[in-house]
Amino acid sequence: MKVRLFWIAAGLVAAVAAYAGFLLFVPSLMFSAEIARLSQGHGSNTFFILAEQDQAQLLPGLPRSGVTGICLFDVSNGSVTLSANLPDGFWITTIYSDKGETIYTVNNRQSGSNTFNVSLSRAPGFIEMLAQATDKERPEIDSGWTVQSPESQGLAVVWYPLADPALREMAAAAVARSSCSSALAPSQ
Amino acid sequence: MRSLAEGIVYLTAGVLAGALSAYLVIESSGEQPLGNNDHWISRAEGLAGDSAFYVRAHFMMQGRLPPAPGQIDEATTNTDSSGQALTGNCHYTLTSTGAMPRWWSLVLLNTGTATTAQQAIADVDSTVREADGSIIIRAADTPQPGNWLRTGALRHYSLLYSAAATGEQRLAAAPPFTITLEDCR
Repeated sequence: MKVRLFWIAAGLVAAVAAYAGFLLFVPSLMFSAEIARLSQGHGSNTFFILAEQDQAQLLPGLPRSGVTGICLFDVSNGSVTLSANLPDGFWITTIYSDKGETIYTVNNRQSGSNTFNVSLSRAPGFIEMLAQATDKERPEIDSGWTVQSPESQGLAVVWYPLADPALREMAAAAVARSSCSSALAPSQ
Repeated sequence: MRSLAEGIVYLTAGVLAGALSAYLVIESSGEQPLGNNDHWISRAEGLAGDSAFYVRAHFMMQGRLPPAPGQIDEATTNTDSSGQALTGNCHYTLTSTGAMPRWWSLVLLNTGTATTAQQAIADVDSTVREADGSIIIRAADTPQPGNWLRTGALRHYSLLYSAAATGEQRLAAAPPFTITLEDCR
């Protein structure tokens, strides 16, 4: 009887562990695999335009005729700057953490400009926040918008809908003027 | 030996029950019917609420991004307005008489496959309004007069409505389309 109770308890513990493990890891793994597939050949901190079928997978509610540009950013080695240079019209720029959390979003009306910079950096931990609170010499960031990501990796997405699919190539070329760059020079 | 086999059964059952319950929680969290039109389901409120973690997991498991809160609202349905499953064997009339947002789209997704591949689409730029301002879209596998959403020969499908969340025409207050079954093969 005691042995059976032990195994029942072990089964319950296994159920709780499987529940937590599934929640914490399965969605992230599936999402990361998809992002890795999409960004194959581009790497991190590079802005590129998604192919129509990839766009349909990543953002199925948005028409394929629109243009979606993404940057898989990695701020573990320093800040990354998204320099948006977008055509006139309706667009939405959204920055997600690698856990799918929206950490910043702006559209053309909210921005007021089609050209802007977003500086992405890692959000400080508790100890770093305490240190910064006493650091009077810390320089202020004086231009553009700054976004602190709770995760070192994430995704910046620019979406530009089109009324006419025939304009996609031209619009894609215009959206592709945007860039994503690390503050550190790339290592040779 | 028998005890060990029994233990493995308990552990296996525990792992399966835990994983299955996590999956079910993810799939059911944050779902809310839109207004009185309860066949349209939205997770927009869930994304901003206490269940946001689970709602995000729902989108991530599909390998897709959640709509940006405050920018894009989404709602899905896999039934017509009478609660019958949408199928490619039938013709439907989708009607919207309310105010529409400055941008919206209606995408037909194949729910019969592992991935929800984007199928046909109707949106603000590709549809023509009626004289009274309403929008009528006919979903069928054969060409239809007016706005046509091609269903193909799908056994079952769902509709995904996306709309710009800016302005007064918020999705929660304006369920997008009523879906009326016309006839079946």
